[in-house]
Amino acid sequence: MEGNSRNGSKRKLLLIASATVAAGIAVAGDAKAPAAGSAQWGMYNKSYDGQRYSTLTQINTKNVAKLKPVCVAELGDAGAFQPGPLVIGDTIYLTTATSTVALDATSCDIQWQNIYNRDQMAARVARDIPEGAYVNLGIGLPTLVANHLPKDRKIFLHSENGMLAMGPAPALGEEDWDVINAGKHPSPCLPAVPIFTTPILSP
Amino acid sequence: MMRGGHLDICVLGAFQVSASGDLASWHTGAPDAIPAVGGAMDLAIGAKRVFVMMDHQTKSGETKIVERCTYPLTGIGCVNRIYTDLAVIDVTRAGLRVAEMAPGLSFDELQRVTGAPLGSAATRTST
Repeated sequence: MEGNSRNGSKRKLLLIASATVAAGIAVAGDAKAPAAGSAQWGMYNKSYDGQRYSTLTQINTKNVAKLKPVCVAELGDAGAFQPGPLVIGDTIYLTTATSTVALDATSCDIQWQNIYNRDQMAARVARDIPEGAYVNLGIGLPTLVANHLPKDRKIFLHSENGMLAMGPAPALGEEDWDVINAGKHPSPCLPAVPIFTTPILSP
Repeated sequence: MMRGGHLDICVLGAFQVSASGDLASWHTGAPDAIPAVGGAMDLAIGAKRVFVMMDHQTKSGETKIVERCTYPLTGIGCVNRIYTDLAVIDVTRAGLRVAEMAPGLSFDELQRVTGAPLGSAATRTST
C-alpha cells in the first residue's frame, strides 16, 4: 500500500492505473475481438478454475511493446486500484480506495461511479446540527463531524472527559496530546472552555 | 452533562439499529471481541436526540438496520435518525422513513439491502 507516499508518487500510481485500463481497452475494443465468452473477465481469477489465462490473441510478444493508450479515464482518486479490473460485456468495473466505477470499455466513458466517502457522510450529519446545540460525538465515524461543522454556527462539542467546547482536528504538528476527544485523538479546546468534573472517590 | 439531559444531540456509531430505534453499539457477542461500551449507554438515553452514523451494511454485506437487534443493546428506542453511506433514515412511531438517498440509488435497491421495512418521506406526508 502507499500509506506514506507523497503527492508525486500518488500521481504516478494514477498514471500507471490509467495505463492498465487503456491496455484492457485495446483488447476489448478491437473489431476482430473473439467470441464474447473468452473476452470476459468476470471475477478476480477470471473463472472458477482460477487459471487467469486469456485466450485472446491480439496482444502477443511481437506487438506488446507497441501498445498505446486508446483513451484515459480520470477517476478523481489517487492511488492503486484495489483488485484487478473486471470486464463483463463491454463494461470494465474497477474499485479504487473510495469508489466503484463502471467504464465503457471502448471509450473510457464513466457509466456510473459510486463514491464511498466518510467525509461526505460527516458533512451531511453536520448540516443537521443547529446553532447553539450541545453535541457529543462518539468514537469512530462521528468524530469526523467536528471537521465539517458550518463555520457560521456556534456549536458546542461535549466530550466525556468533561469539556464542553472541543474544536476540529488540529493540523499536523499542532496537536496537544494532553487534550483529546472520545476517540483519543488530539482535539483542541476552544477559548474559555467550561470544564465539568465530579469528585473522584479514591479507595 | 450526559445524565442531566443537557446534551441536545449525540452522534454515535453502531453495529445495529432496529426499526424501533433500538441501538446496539458496544458488543457483537464474538468471544474474542473486546467489549467497548464507553459512555454510550448514558449518551444514548441522556441526549435529547440521538443520531447514528454508520455504514449501511457490514464489510461482509450483512444489513445493519434490522427488525430486532441480535447484539446486546446500548439503548432501547433511543435512535432518532440514521445516516449511512446510502441514505438518511428517520426512526418514527410508524417505522423507518427514508429522508434522503444517495444519488443514483433507487428506493427498491435501498430496501433490498435494508433488513427492516422502509417507508419513503412521501408516504409519511400522505398519511
